Amino acid sequence: MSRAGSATRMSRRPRSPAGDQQAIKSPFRQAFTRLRRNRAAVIALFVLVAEMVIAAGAPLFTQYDPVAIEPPDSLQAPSAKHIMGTDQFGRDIYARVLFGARISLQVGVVSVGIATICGVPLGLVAGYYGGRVDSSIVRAMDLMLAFPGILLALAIVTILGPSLRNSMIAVGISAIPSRVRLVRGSVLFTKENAYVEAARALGCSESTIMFRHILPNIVSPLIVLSSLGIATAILTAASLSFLGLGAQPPTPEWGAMLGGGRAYMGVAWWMTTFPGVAIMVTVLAMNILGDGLRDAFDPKLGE
Amino acid sequence: MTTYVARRIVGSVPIVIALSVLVFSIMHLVPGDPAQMMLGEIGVSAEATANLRKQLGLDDPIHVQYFRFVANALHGDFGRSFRSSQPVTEMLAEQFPSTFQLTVAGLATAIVLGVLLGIIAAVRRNSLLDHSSMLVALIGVSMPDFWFGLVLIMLFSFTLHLFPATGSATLRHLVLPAFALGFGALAVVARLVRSSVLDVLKEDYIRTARAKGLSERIVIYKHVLRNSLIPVVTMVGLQFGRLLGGSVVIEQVFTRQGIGRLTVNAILDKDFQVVQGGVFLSALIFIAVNLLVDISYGWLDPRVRYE
Repeated sequence: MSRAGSATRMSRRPRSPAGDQQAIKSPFRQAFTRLRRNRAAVIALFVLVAEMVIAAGAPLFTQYDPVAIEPPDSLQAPSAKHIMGTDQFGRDIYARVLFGARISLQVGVVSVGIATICGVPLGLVAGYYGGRVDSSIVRAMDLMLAFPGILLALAIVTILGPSLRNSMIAVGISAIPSRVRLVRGSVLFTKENAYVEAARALGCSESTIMFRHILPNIVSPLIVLSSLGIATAILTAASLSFLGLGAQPPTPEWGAMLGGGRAYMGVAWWMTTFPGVAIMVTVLAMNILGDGLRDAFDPKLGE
Repeated sequence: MTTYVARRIVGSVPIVIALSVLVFSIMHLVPGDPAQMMLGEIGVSAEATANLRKQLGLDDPIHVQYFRFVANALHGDFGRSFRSSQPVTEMLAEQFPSTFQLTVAGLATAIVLGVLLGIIAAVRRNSLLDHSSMLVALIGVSMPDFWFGLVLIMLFSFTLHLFPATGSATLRHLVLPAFALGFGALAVVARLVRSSVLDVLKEDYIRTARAKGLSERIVIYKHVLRNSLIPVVTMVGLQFGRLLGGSVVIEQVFTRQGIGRLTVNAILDKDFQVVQGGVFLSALIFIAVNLLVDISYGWLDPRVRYE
């Protein structure tokens, strides 16, 4: 964060000739300017903000309770009364999709949070100290990467037991290695800089050097990885719930709704259509935003 | 080359050992007594449980149990299912061909269609064709594979009656699952091929090829394609793992037999002996495939051998 801080200070410098303004913009503001010009990314951001608003105020957008059972209304096709139809228990799909947004956004943020909180310090330590510490951390990560795809998350859920909370933990843990790799790689590159040498010469403690001098340089790739990571986390957690190993009934989770709707595909297409569209729109927006952020932070990569 | 291969094989031994520790610990980390689980929840006398514990060696020190687990695993013995008492190895062997068939078919779909889409997009850069194929690719990355599977079933089985929705008896049963599984990887391959073709098109030797009057088709197929496929080869290993993981979900969607379905059902049934076997086998296959990919780098690009 110190980088952003010092950058603000820079931009508050006394106004010199107007031409200098461009040159002294902070990297973050430059990135933001570039992001604003990327139409697809702006739309994606708008979609995600709208979704957050809907998730936060879900009860305001529907009169139905997402878990209340209404047997006489079961398996109704979309109509004016239930715009996305109802499921086998007569629950309103639209209400469940709205409340599902809360769960999916939460899953994305919590899982990526777990991965970042565990992965960043490990990557910093591995890259900074090198030697035996580094090789043992790298080995441990290689082991985690030896599990194909969703399998590591499955193994963790097996041990912890199936539930929404445990699926978030499992998805978060399986995303740790990619953080460690990114941070470690950047640290190896950054620690050769003269200012790190200078900080050491000034007698800064090692944790100060790692967190105040090296970490700020890794913030932008970390932001990009996190936005793409949220997309992956939402997908993986939805897969776990679809398999019955994540959110348990009657929680209105999109993956679990698809799992429940599977048995009624022949008679109630709406049960397996709308939650799927919801997942796809969220993940698509997150991916487009992530791509946009990557191009904005590193314009060279865009070409 | 032989030393390189040997070094790679030796390099993956620690991973396999660590994997065995992890898989072994699944049984000991899940809450509950394995002997109790084997006998089921119904009232069994404490004596019977104690007898079974002794029989299974569950009272031995943990390291003794681990070494016994490894010794058995080396003999291909992963114990018996708590539920059906069938040997786990036998169950895995029954399910493996189906998963292998699905993964390979998915990978083939992804590579063939992905390369085609990527080349078209790159050669016709910035055309409508380019933009639409890249949109398809982006959707492919963002679409949950299990939902795509459900959509395919609704469309091609329930509405058009072209392909069966479930089962794994014939090749017709393979079409929808393979496409559902491969679609995400197809998108990744298409994006990669596009950018790689665009890079190669800028090379001097392409200008030379055109300058000497070769037809555009020969330039694309003989000069561009070969050079731009190298990064694709490197990606196959990664995508194989992704598809192997994806098959867990796809098998469930299409009620298709396979390792993934076996493992998931075992987790839900608390049949942990089967879970251990399924997880171990999947990870082992993945490690082996990555090893083969590593070795193929050394073969394709001799510089790698001297790293």
